[in-house]
Amino acid sequence: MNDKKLLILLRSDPEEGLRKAIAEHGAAVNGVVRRVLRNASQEAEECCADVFVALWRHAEKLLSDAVPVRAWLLVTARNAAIDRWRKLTRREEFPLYEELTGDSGLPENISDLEAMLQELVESLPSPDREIFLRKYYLLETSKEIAEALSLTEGNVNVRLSRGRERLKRQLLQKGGDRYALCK
Amino acid sequence: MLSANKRLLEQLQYLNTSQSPLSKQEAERILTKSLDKVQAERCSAADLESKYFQEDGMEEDIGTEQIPVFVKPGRKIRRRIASLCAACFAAGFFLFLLFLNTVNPTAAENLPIVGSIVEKVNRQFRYQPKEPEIPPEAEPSFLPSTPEPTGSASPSPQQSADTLFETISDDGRLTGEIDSLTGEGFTLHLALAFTPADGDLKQYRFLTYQSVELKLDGQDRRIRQESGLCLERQGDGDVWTGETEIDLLDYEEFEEVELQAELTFSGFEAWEDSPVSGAEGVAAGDTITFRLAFAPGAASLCSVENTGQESGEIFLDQLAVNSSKLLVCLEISDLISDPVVILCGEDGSYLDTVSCEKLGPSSAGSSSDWRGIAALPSENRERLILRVSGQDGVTLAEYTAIPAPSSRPSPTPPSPSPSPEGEISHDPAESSPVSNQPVPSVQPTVSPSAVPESRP
Repeated sequence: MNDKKLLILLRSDPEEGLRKAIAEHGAAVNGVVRRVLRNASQEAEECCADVFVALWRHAEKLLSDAVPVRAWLLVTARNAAIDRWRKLTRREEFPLYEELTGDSGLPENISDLEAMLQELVESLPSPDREIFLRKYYLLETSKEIAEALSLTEGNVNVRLSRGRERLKRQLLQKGGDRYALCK
Repeated sequence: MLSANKRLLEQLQYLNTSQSPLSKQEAERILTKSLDKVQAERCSAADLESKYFQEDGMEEDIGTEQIPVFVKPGRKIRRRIASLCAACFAAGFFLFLLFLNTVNPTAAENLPIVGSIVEKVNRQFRYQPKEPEIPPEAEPSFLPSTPEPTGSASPSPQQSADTLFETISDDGRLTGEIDSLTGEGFTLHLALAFTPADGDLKQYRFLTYQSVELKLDGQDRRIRQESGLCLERQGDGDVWTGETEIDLLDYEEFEEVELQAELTFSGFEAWEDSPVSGAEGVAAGDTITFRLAFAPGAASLCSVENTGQESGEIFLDQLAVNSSKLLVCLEISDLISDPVVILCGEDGSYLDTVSCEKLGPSSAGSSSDWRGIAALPSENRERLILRVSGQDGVTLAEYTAIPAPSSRPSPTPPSPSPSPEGEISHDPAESSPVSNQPVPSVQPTVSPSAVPESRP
């Protein structure tokens, strides 16, 4: 079932639409959620349910904007899982962001960071872009990425390290520019 | 944000990411949870939406939000018109029902759905004011020690006539008599006594009837009810008694003087394991019809005053007086072998000796039932005294009967029975069970008219 049909079905018959969506994208969504909420199976299920409810809620907008459903679900699942993880651990920052930002003095506003990251990731060359997408959006491990891209795990880690340094520099530069503008 | 990230999302869309397949149970649980949340959101959205259609046209505060209210005057008007139409329809229907009930209550009562309600209301209106008038019929006989009201409640001499109850059996195999008839509200308690023609009721101890047709005031009003009589043998005699109740609640008017009843008993059943077939006399499924005539005033023929001399060995069960006869039923201890019952005038002067016969052992066990009948003096008596004594002449009990005005013997002898069926026999001893004759004879029986006020 293509995205359009699925979204229309979700609007007309939520039960059937959700059933189809879960059958089609449940495994991918669950994969992302489980990577964050490894030891909380109950929470993971709740999180998955939240993701599909969000899909039902935004079905009309997704339909009008022709947004790819699978990707949207994966990103939403990642964000929802991180939100839930935050609530569970009472920690503000997910390790990946800490890892990325460190003590760099980058803006603390997550949405700003997200937007910048997206722009920067866009500018990365292939296959670094995919590695970053997998690492930071799909929350895959280096091993999984290496297997998916037929690279060695070491190679993936080196590319990630280099990419992070590059992103850091760009982030600092962009952040600095914004700070300058603000000041 | 969605449009800005579209390119990123398109890249993500086709990334072959690792998945964690859901088990069937997991998928079902996720679906259930999702649906619950969707339902909850829909409900809250519906609640919120309903706020947009406030009829007062004012703005509604929901939290900090100011929600504009869309007034829909068309809807408002439609709603009001619908309410008005409904009210008009209900009022019209009510008026129609009222009119129909006034003109033709039967038709109103036969209407579907509302018919039963109309019937109940009608019954309430019909019966409530008449309730005090019921006693002449419904509470005929057993008002012990209460002087009878004079005047309109009592039947005319002609109505009370010579018999309290007339019992006619046209069956020939079984003679039925009314043993007693009492009223309790709208229920008639009818005790019947049966005498089988061959002296034996065989194995039939339970008499069922599918219908009781009760003609009131000669009019064709019938009660149909199914019930039965459990027959008990009285003593060692051939008399079997059974009691039943007849519900008169459905009757509107029976304040009329004369109450004619025709009871049809049908469908006999054997008692316990007794064989049904092959028995003589009454056969299973037979129908016996009794026509019972009783005047409502007959029950109030006399009241009794206990003079206080009743010993512990004698109890008065029944004392009835009509225009020419007196009936007394006593329960006398077996220690008194041959009781003497004397009828005296109010001054104590001797009038007559009541010939008594022993019916058989009473239910008490150590005593027997006795019944006596005496002819009344022709002159009008205000009071009659009944003395019961032993062979030694010592008075053991004394009762004072106060005949109701209508039942007091008149100076002129009463006319013969108004019953067209036959001649009245004044001596119960002469009244034998009705045999197989085309026109059945009439058996005069008397009703219990009074019961002593208290029994030890």
